[in-house]
Amino acid sequence: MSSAASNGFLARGAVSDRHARFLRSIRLRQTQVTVAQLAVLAVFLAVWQLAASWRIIDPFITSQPSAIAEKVLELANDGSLGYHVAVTVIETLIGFGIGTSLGIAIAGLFWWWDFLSDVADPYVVVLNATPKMALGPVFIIWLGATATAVVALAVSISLFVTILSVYSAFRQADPEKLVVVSSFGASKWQQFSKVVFPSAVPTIIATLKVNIGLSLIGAIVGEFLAANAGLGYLIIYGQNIFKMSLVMTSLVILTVIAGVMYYCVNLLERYLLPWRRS
Amino acid sequence: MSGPERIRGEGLSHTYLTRTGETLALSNLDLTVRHGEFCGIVGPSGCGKSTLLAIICGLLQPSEGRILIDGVQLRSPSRRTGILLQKDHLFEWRTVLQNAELGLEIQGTGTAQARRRAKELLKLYGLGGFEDSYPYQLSGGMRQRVALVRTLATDPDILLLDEPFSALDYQTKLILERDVHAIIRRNDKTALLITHDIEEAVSMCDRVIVLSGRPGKVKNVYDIALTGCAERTPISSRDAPEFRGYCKRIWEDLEIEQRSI
Repeated sequence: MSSAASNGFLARGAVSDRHARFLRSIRLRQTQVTVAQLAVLAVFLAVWQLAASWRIIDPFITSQPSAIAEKVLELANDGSLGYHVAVTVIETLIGFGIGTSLGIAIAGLFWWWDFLSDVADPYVVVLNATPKMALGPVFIIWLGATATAVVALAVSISLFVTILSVYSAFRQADPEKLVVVSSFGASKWQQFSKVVFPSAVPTIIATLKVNIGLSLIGAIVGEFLAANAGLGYLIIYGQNIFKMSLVMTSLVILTVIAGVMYYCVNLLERYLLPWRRS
Repeated sequence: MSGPERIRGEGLSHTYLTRTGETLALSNLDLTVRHGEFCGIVGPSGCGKSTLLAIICGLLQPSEGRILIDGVQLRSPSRRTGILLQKDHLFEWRTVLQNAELGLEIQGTGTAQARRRAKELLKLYGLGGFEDSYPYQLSGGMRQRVALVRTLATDPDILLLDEPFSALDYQTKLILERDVHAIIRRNDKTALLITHDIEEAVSMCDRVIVLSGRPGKVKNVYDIALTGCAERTPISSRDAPEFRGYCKRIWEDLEIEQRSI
């Protein structure tokens, strides 16, 4: 074997010495970035922990990592962690699913029937600009202080922005591609399914990325206002009984959930857009 | 050429209407293309070539006059015609094979049959082994070949070529001109080539129609008779003694038009 094979894991898969040096340099950089990212987190947690232990900051106000870890274990043991996480995630996903699919469907309807889109245009624009959080009390009065009201808020927050951006992507489909399919005798439905919709998939993916975050905001704010379950409820409950460790724990879990959801949409993107050059 | 008429345009006029007024793009244009003929249309920019093509495709109804394909008035795109445009317009989200199948898929040919036909044609035109590649992985010439296969897959009798070689580099262009010419001749198809390139028109076509500037009207028609080449191809045509003469006359027709714009 050449020396390329004996250069350790950083040069794994190298086909020559030169390739091994190249692989080592890019993998070394990747490793450095990851280590630095973890170091930032570790230093942050250590400073927080020590500052609270040495009473430089007041742990009653700021909580501290050890208290959060204890709280996570405590909530996990009595089963309430899984319950509240599940409530928030399910509300978010339902709101996300309804808001996104309804938004795409309405955008499709607008493409199909542009008279409708011209008529609806000012209403959609104004509704999009309205702060959806202000609708929270309305939903609670209409639907009660229930998970349904929370989902309604999560839907309303992503619906209008989805309609606007997806409809604009539908309209930007290449007219010459439409000529190509029309020359084969494509029906209007075929124009939509073969050209207009696939052209808009990159925009739809970008919209999904935005919407997953928006729906989570909608669900949390909804839980602030109305719910008796979910992470938003835990945060408000923690605030009311002045338990900072409960508030901080919920925040940390929320951050993890947001990260996981975003990662899932990224996976979906890689699966749906194999034709994008890397 | 004395075969039956495939394309017949009678008194074609087209006016585009906008809020600010109207533009006459084509004016009282007559046109006949017979079976097996390779007919070229050249004209200065803005002479309504694209309008004419859209009308012959059945994508645009002329304001006046009518277009007949095989004696039947055209009201919507005909399955007998296939188009090849300047850009390949491959769908970047489809593989080469899926692109080649597009027309068959739209016309409702069964998947297995469409796949077999598309594969056969890709292999025939030098794209075997690239079936599962995406368009961005191909060169310009290969992409245009895939577009050609996509058009030929539905087996149209009449090919409408709208400057399909103009975006290619010179060498690729000559090769593709030669191949398209051979395919059309060998399969007894009829072709209408719209182009800016006078040499391309003279080297490929049996007849060249010169249009005047806007509004487009027929200014001159040249029957291209070339001698001295055993088998006429777009490359051998360029060596014929008459070649330069045709190019020069058409150039002069167009130059006068350009001056008057």
